[in-house]
Amino acid sequence: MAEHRPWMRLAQRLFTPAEQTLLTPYLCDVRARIDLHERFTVPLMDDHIRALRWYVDHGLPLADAMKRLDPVQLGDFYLRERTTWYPLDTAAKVYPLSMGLKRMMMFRMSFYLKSLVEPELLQMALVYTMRRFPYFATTIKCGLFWHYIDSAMRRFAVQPETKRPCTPIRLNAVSSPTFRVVWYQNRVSVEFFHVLTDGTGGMIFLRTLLHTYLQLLGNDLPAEEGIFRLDETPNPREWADDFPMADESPSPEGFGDKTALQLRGLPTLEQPSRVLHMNISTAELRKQAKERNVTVTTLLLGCLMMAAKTAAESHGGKKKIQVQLPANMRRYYPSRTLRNFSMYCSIRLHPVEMTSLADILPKISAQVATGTSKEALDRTMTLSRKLVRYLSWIPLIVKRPIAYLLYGRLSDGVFTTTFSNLGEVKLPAEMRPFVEKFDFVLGPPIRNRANCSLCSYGDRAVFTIVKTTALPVFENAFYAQLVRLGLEPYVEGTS
Amino acid sequence: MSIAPMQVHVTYPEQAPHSFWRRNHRELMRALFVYVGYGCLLMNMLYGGTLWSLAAIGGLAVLWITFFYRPLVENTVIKKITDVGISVCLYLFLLDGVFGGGWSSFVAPIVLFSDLIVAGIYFLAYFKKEKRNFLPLFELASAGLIGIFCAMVGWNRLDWPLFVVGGVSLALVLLTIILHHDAIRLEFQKKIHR
Repeated sequence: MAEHRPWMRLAQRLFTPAEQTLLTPYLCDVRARIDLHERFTVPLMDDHIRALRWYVDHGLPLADAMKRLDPVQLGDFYLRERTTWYPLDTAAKVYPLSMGLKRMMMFRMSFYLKSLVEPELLQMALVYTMRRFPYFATTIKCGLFWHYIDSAMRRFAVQPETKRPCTPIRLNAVSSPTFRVVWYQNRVSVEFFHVLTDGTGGMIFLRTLLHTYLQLLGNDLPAEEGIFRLDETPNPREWADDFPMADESPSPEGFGDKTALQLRGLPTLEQPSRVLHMNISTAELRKQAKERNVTVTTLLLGCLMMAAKTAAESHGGKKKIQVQLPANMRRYYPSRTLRNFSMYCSIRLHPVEMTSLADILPKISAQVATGTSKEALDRTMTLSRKLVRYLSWIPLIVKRPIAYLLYGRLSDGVFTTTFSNLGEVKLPAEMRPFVEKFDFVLGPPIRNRANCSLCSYGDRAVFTIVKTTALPVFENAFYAQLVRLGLEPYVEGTS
Repeated sequence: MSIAPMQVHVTYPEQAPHSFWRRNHRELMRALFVYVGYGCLLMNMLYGGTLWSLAAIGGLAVLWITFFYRPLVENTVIKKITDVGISVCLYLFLLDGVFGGGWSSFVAPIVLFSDLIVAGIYFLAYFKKEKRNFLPLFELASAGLIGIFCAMVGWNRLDWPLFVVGGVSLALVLLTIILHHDAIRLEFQKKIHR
């Protein structure tokens, strides 16, 4: 009895009988490398057929298209059952405890191409890229004491973007992925649940996906630093929890803080309420920072805090404007992990002392230097590890509701906002002609009214503000700060 | 220095309008259940008498768990079967406590072992697919073993339902270990990691 081949229906629809003769051995070879449930196998086969059709429609002979989509690139990733599982890293343990239907710690990274996205090739790029990132091909599961992530044998799909950025991912199916890839016009975005990775790990995945996609478009590109080669064997150090690597501090501290001033405005029903990308010249931004003898982070922190002062709830008491500033621990430790390996510090100023941008920049600079020092971050890391150790014996069924309630009440209440600077995104010279810019979006906060982030590529720095309220005072004030600095932000975003 | 207002160029797709009910139906249903519960409690307190409102609230909780509750992680068939079983058992204890009779320690184990049998058969029949979701069943079987242990040391009355609970729990554990030793050992390591 002939094997049931539902994907042949698509092949018969899209290809002539003569082409199908050429196609059949190729599809058999592809099928021999897949051992998934039928609900994943059929779409995966269809992905190959659609991509081949795209190539043929764009002038590539079918034989060459089949070479470009050589089934060898699948390896045995979709064939052998993967049994590897990964305990959550120290930072990630809190995220599933505190998540809800409409609240999840997420972030998003995007690249913008100079041409429209070809979804058929983007899908195949994701199919191939997953092989190099087995740690991302996972789903979240419940243990007796902690959540963990377990290998998921499935197809990962790209989707057209229809929802708001960083909408929570549904994780309750048996093999639900913990990230999603969406595309819109010339933009490809990857949204991650923070249990999986942080900005550094996410950017490596994004660049590798981009590299694979551009290669499938027919460009021969080198895989340099920050881009993984798909034919390399994944290194176990890529999924190591490197928190234990940090030096033990004799005086752990860092989490307790006074309640911060919050921005005005009521959260809207749909979250995020607004996402704005302020495109600035990187060179101009650096020039302005250099003129004031501060770093770009400090300068933007200053603008952010002045804008927060304008938009904050009425202040006359002791509450300060406190900005959470994540710091990448890879600066201090030789980590190769793709998982979370960052800590944060707090930059605090009372509105009374915030007389002008020029006045606050030296204070911010001093706090950033102290707060992001190895010693300070080690103290917070030591405290994180201690907390995890103390809580490790409490069953999840007890921990979860308490963490959910506490997180809802306390969570980001000790900050006014967060500012995460991913830094400069570098690409090999051969890839640069295809890419316009990158951006980085933090998910909507719980109690805070805004989250801010920055990344730059070439001469384009993109400062992103995610708002949970419709009141535009904060972003207008920040925009005004940038304009007064002589930067001419070109603003894009949601309506 | 007067600054021109910020012009935002839209680069995100238009959001399809969703009805308020569709967007928030779970929260609305939960609110309805909570308010009905509060209403029953209030009426009970106003008019006095037996604490029938607790029975009503318990019933609402069982209904919610059976038909509406969906865990954020691992929303599986086994989780649903075990959650319903546990909620019904607890509800029986509550009814016995409110209305008296002393029958729950006899009836609840019957519900428990029935639940164990259904969940256990499903688990073993679809082991390859369900092996990663065994934790709720393991917790239920452990509860059964603890129950029979308590009865055997005299902390509880040892009736035949409790005996059957212990037997079914033990049989499930042993069958799983005998039939799928390697796979279940790995899954167990994952579940109990600290």
